[in-house]
Amino acid sequence: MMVEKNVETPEPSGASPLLTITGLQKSFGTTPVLKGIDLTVMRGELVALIGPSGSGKSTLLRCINRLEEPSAGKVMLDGVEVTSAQADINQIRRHIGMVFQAFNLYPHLNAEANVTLALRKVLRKSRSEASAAARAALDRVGLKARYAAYPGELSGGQQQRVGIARAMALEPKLFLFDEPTSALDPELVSEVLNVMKDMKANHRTMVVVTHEMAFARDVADRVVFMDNGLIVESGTPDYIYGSSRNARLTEFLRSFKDRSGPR
Amino acid sequence: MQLIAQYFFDISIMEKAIPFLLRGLVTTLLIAVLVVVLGLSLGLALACLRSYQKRLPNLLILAFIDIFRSIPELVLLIVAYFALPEFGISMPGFVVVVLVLSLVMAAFTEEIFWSGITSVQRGQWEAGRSTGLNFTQVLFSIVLLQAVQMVIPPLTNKTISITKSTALASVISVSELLNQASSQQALYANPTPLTLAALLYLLIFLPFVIFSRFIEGRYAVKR
Repeated sequence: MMVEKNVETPEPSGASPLLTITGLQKSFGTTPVLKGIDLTVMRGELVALIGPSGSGKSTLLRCINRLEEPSAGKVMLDGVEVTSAQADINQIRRHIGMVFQAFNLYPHLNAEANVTLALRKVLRKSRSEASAAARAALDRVGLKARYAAYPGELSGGQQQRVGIARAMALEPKLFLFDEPTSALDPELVSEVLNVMKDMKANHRTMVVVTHEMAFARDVADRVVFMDNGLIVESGTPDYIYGSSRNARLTEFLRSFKDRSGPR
Repeated sequence: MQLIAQYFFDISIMEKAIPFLLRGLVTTLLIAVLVVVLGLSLGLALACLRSYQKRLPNLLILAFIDIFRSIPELVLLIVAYFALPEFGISMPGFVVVVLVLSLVMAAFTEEIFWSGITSVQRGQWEAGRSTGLNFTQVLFSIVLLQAVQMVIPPLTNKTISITKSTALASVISVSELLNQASSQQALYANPTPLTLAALLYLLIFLPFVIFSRFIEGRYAVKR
């Protein structure tokens, strides 16, 4: 049962907001992790979320598609309230592609079947339609020859690209990336980042939690710095990496330079 | 040496007893197959139901498996066969043994399947749900197969042990292999039929045990 108007991929259109988060809070037990987040993401925009571990970046991402239930606040995606109690969460999630740090591919299915599963079960595509869409998505992430490969037979970088293809094939309005390169060997990081740059060039809307500072600086439209459950600083890469004088941000960036050397 | 041959391997008695024992063997196999199929199916179904984490069904499932895992199979058989008729529930021995052993099998395998389901990584659920699959779709298309694959060794183990429990049926006078062997032994006042029964058990169950080892290797989780 598809609602036809929701199925189409949104056209990139200037400066209209796609995702609006207001007053978002999340506590685990009595521990507050998100303390009131306001964030708007425009269509076609790539927002990089940076910050020290434990700052709430991943939790924020997971509240957007309600893998975590927010404790308070509101998430709107393209005019639909994700956080509403009446929301059809499965229909909404199909419009929010997610890419995980640990890939989370289905180990018992080959690359193509990893991608077709939701196409068939959620979009109710026929076997041949789903297969064509899956192969197109795998082609776009540079895995043309690996349709039949099982996750265990692929390198980490290839696995993550299957993960991206799995999200991409559903043609979601929004992509969430949860530290997509953190589990990869250094030499495999660039193949995944290149796919993401390609998506950005195709005006996909993306929210990316990352520790790849060079990627955030070079590719993001906006960089959001989180610390201790709050958005502390936000702006263009030039501002964040150049002119911001926020003490916690400078400290965070300095720790980064110390760790990985000049980039 | 001659005494051993006479008491345990008397060829003439073997010849006379074998048709009865073979008839018993068929019953044993029939019970075993029914118990394994019914027990595994019910165990799997209960484990799936349990994964929905609804309070009342879960309470009932836990009560069922804990009771059936605690009481010895022999006690359950005797109660079902000799005590239930007092309450107007009277069933033939064959039905009682299939029912009781199936329920015991289900209780044990539910716990095995359940442990498999819980050991599938949370990321598998999250990946499935994030693409818009509902809980049931994730359970059946993603989680269950991986779960079953992980628990094949304990499952084959339990399968072997329950098939051997079919011999308990002899106490409620079901004419399976052991029961037939005992009557033949009484008839000839010679334990040779029992030897023969042991050989037949070995002949049937040893290939099965070896086959289960093959299954474990074939479907082992690839990492």
